[in-house]
Amino acid sequence: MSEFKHDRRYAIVMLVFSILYGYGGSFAETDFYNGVVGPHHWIYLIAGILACLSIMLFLKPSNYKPKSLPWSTWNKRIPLLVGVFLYSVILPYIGFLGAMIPLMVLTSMLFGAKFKFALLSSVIMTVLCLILFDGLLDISLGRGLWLM
Amino acid sequence: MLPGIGPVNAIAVLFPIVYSLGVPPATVLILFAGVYYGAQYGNSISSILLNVPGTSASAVTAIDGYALAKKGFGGKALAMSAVASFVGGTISIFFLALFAPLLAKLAINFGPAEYTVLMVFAFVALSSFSLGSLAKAIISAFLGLAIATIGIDSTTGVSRLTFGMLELYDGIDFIVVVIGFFAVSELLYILMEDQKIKTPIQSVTSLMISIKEITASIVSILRSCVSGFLVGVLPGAGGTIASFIAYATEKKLLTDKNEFGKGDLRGVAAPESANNSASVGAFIPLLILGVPGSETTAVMLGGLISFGIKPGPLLLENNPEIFWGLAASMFIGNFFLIILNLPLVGLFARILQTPRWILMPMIMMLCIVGAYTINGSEFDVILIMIFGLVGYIMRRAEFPLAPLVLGVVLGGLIETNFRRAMIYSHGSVSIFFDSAICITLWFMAVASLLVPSIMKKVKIK
Repeated sequence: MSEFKHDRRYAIVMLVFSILYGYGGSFAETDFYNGVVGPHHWIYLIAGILACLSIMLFLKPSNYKPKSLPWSTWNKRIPLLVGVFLYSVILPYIGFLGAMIPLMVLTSMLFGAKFKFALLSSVIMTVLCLILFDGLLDISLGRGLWLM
Repeated sequence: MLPGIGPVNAIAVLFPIVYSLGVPPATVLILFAGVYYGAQYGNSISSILLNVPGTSASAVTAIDGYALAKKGFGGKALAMSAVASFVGGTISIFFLALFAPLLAKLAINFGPAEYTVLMVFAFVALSSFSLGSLAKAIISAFLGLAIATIGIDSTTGVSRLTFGMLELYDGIDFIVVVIGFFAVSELLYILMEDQKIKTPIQSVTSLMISIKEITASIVSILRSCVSGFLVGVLPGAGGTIASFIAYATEKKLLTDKNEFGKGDLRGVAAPESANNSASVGAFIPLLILGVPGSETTAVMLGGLISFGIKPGPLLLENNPEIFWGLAASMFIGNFFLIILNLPLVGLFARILQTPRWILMPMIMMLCIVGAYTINGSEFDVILIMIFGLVGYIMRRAEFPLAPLVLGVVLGGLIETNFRRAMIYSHGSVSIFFDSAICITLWFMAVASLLVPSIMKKVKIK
């Protein structure tokens, strides 16, 4: 495989993005502007320059060669991302404490903690965070349905 | 101080807290500035004791600093770093107070066209000084500009790229972008790359440095302070380039350089003085022109705008308390840095040994809380994860993230100024080449594009 292939891959991704972005800009309402440059023109300008830069990167890629990562590293990344997504879904229903503690336990374990230590440190940190924000600073972190 | 957790992440996490508390803008800027220049010193601790620079600005310090620590002089290196940071930081505050009002007088003549070109210059400078491919750096900046276009258009009030999602009508808050692209991507990076600190932490012995050692280094400190300040004023250059230039200059100019690179106190003093001086210099373009020179000052600019303060030439006139309050606070901050850091260095060294499984979940919790508290919206939490993943991929692909943040922060301003200028000129782009200021700025933009490649060629020869 050519060492230039990786940059070219990114260039193609950016080119597709710039086209979609420019297309998205065409949905902006254009009836109300009375100036020379409308709300969609700026988007077209950015999309056009992005497309040109992508072509430039494709034609003249750098010597970038990514370090290969074993697939096992995905075993850590996916649970973390899914965990945060689930957190944002369940937060409105069960509140900060209920949503954050499991997420913290999961994250601690992904970073190598044993379950007992992970649980202990997660509970302590989450409760401290709640006391600091919700109690002392009066910033709500999400109280759940029963405390609404 | 903690490797990988720089001032940007710290400010991004702090921002929603101070915003919710209704802290006055001047206090917020002082707080962020304290984090910024405090981080410059803190980074030297991990560089010297661990050979792991917290940020690239302290990478050069590690060369002589770690060599000294291995010889058993870690304490001396840390003390010299503190003294050089203090001297560099303090002298550069005088430069700031002296030059900022002069530049403000010049910048008062700036119109929309001049501002547009100035921001183009900032983008070009930041992109060209970024390590790696220039095309990637500019792509990164334009991605930031693209993110900034999401939401209601400030000129016409129509929605753009919201796809009917109510959460996007107010646009994407820059703090969500910063937390996602910097803090979360760093978290994923550390998790994925499984970066374990394998280098043993060197012990800290006596912190005493002799008058003779200070005298031997004072010329290096002063020289680096001046060069660091000048580099810091340039948009995009920042502490990293300042410290590299200072180190390279000392290497060339010193007559007795047998130990230089192998454990010389001047090799610690020069970059530390330069990067602290550069961090003060970076406030000139930020406060007087409203153009940040680095990702950290970009985040500060975004913060100031959120607080209703518009940095620019009129800041000194309209909000003098912000500028002079910051200058005064820097004196106090630098003083406290030196009296706190030296006795507490042992404690800081211990913090470096905090297990990742405690530190990283805590940072993740603060990221989530930080993103959530901006609007009280779960949608922002999802966004930081999306941005974190994209940021991680961009990091691995060697796309610099600083231009992206600059794009998000300046996106609204550059668009407004560009459109205003086009309206004034009835659609003619010649307005961007009409005034002497515009032409000078274009010249500087072209020069900043050429300088890095010329420097590379000179280095090769």
